[in-house]
Amino acid sequence: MRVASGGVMSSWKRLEVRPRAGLQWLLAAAVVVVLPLSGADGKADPKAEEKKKEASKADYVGSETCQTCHEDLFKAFQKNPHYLVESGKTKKAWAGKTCEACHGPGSKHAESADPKDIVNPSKAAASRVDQNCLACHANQQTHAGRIQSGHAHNQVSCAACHSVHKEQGRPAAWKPAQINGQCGACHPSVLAQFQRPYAHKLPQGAMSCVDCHNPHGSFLPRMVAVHSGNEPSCIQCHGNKRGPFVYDHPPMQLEGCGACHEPHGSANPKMLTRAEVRTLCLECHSNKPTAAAAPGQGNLGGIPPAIHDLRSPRYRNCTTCHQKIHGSYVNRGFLR
Amino acid sequence: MRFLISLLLFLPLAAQEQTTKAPEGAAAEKKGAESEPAAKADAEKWLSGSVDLGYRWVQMNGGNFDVYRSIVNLGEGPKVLGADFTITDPQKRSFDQLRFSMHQWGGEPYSTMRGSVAKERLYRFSADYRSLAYFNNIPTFANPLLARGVTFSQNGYDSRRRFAEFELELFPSRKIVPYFAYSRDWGKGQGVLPYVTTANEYAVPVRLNDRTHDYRGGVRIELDHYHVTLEEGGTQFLDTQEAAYVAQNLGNLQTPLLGQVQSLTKLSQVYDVTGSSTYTKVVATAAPFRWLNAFGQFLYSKPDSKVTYRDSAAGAFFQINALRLLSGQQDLVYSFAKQPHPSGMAGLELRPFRRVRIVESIMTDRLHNATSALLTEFLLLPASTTPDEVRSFTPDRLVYNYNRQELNAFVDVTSKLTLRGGFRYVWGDAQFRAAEFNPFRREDYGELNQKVGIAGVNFRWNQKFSFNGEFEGASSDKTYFRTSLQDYRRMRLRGRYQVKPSLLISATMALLDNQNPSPGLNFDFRQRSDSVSVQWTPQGAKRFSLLGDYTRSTLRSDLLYLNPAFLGTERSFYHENAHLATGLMEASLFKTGSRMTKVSAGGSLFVSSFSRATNYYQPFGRLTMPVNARLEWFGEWRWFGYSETSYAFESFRTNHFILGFRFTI
Repeated sequence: MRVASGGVMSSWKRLEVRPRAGLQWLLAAAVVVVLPLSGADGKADPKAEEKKKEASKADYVGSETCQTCHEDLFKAFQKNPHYLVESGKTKKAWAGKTCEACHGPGSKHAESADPKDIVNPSKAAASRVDQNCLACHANQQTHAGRIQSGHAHNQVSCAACHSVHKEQGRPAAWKPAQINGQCGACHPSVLAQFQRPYAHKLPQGAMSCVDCHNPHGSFLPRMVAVHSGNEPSCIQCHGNKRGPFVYDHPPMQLEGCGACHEPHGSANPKMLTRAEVRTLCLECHSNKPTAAAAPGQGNLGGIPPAIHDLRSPRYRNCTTCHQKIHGSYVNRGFLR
Repeated sequence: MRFLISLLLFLPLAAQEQTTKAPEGAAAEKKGAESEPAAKADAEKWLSGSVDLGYRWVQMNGGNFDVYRSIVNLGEGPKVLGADFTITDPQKRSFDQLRFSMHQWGGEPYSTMRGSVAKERLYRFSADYRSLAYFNNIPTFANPLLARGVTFSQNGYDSRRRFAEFELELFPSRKIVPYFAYSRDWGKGQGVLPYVTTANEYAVPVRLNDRTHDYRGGVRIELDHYHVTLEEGGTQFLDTQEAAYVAQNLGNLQTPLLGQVQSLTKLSQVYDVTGSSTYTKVVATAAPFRWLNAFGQFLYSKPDSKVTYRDSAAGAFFQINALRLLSGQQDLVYSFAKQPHPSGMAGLELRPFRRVRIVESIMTDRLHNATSALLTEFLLLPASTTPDEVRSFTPDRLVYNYNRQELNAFVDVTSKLTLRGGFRYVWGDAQFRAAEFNPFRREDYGELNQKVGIAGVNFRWNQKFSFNGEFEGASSDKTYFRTSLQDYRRMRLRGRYQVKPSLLISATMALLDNQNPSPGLNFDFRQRSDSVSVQWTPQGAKRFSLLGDYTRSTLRSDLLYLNPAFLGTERSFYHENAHLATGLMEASLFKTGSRMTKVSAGGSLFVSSFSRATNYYQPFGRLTMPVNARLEWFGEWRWFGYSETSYAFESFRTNHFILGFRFTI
């Protein structure tokens, strides 16, 4: 059976094909000077290779054939958004062959009923699963930067979070608690931090991890999602901290909210990273003013000698006076 | 809003009426009596969901109610604890599926509502609304009067933040997807903030009101090997903080200066901040060859702010730089800021060999905030009818450039083992005005230069066992701040083992160790957390299930700083050892009708020691008893116990009882 036309490709098959020598070598050489890994291209598992070659010789049999044995799975799949593929109304034309769009041609498996005769993405390398999914989903709004995301780097495939078969396939429709549970399965220590007294309201179900992070990747560090163009997602709910301020507090721009706050939870009020306000401030505002910058010693935040006598409680609580500490529209000292 | 929610709750009922009407048509006449069971079956298919209603009793067993509100804030009364509906139209007329859910309504501090409706290949619409209470009155936070026994915070808030977002995607063709979205974020409430003069601060009540509207629209163009997303958006912002105060206020400093105690007797203060922004987003992905994937994005925003600020204060003030007394002060400020902010990122994934992938990306983020402010200040002297007028014009700027290049190589050594090695180079610079009164410099200039080595391993023996590890080691010769990461090592290890189908064990370890041995700084930072989780679900959790995790975390930060008055060296030492645990046990007791009566128990604990030693316990127990196939009763008890070793007056202990029912459609 012929593969459906119109640019449709089976990623599984596609990945097996060795690239032509040529431009890719030039690009590879430009990216890395030495890549002593050509040995890795050897046949590490000849039996598996043989199996895959045999599987690739199989033909497409259609979803109805799959349904014969996998009826429960197929029933659930009918309520999954992927079922749309079966109708042939999607960009990639796989009408009547939805199962094989991901699992590859199934004629051999249909004959033998042997699991080894069909591609099983749950057992495949994460990068191959991603290639398969991204063949159709590369242009989702949230997917920009997927290649460079921490999840991609750590071999967390799309299927690790998304269910391809089950009824509720679209995570956006999940409840926040479900999303948090999903993320917490791999990040339990992060989820545990929200049990601290001062934390964003995740355990209460008011928020979910994806309100702040984009699990598909972001150009910001730690996969922090972006909002309003290129602003960090913090301002999505804290719009009054966005500015632009007439007098910026530079760490807000240079290091972000995490310079002073622990957004996942803290034992300190206002999710601060220190128990006392003064230590948080003075740890940075602690350079002796000099005429020239002192390279390599964190030369920003210098202070001249001040009247602040730290023996007085008034001066131990910096934000009492410097109340507009995120930035001020009126006063350089953040007093108003 | 409550009316709207009530209407939404009745939505499924309205839908039910439609189905009963449908068999009344021609088809019903033909089928006669047989149509009724068929309609019922249809109804079961297209409508599903549940609603949880209950009443909560709150019993304070002592402690500080303000701290309780700052941390927990759950109140008493009738509540809509949750509602969740899915309507599927079998005939797919105007929609295929409509989903709606809402949680924690009825005077609750954290209320959410979301819905989505979609029709295959035509449209998808989603809406999200949240209303979060923000109460914060912690006696020990930035409170200079605490030593005098005043436990009212001078940085307190009692406000509510609301957020709404609506998004519509259209599918006019297979390759073009236009979308439109609108979101609104707004905060309103009251608080307490100090009015600051040169020699004293007076805590006064303030009214807070800010809102941001965000509009965006774009189109996704999906070709076979190339994809482009073009988006254009804009924001509008308004912030009007106000204070109006008439009373005698002695402020934080009650020591007489020049023989006079300072006081504020009258204050009027108004911020009028308006802002706007337009932004552009271009994202492109491409798979031009079988061995190459590439992506790039360009983001540009240009927010600006225009500000009018007025204050007028009367009382007895001391002007510290002129060493004189004032009877009043008026300020008028006009200011503006413009902040062009372009960002870009480009990357590619290259597969020169079947088992090798090379991923490279380069990113840049540039920001230039240009501002200026015109201040006119009138200082009223006690013995004069003519005020002193001070005018100043202050231009300011912040320039910030950040760049990052990262290269990673992945090798699938076998189908079960993937190794990763890479390198990240981060560099940038920042420039802004130096601190006020700096005798040496008008501008501060900082540079960033960091080199990071990256390594990783991913091992998946089979579907039961997997292991993932990643390591970063960095060396920096230039950082922006004293507390920035300089020479650091970061490590994360994760393991997961499915012992048997009913038992899953996973463990993680995360470590961050940073050193900056510069003289006068000697920064030593170490953070580590170790977690272990267990999921035990014998017999598919039919009778019993147990989920639990335990995390042990330590954080130690030690560095030197200067005392600003004398520039003498002091030490800042922050240390926290914490135990965090959460657990959930659920057991089925006996059968009531066709369903099981269940009991569940669990909760969480947080116990920390050293710098801010805190205990926070949240155990709970719940009994669920079905009445019939659609209705079940539940009773729930929760305990919130919070205490701090150093500040006993900030503790609280609270019992919560909820009695309610769940109706399943």
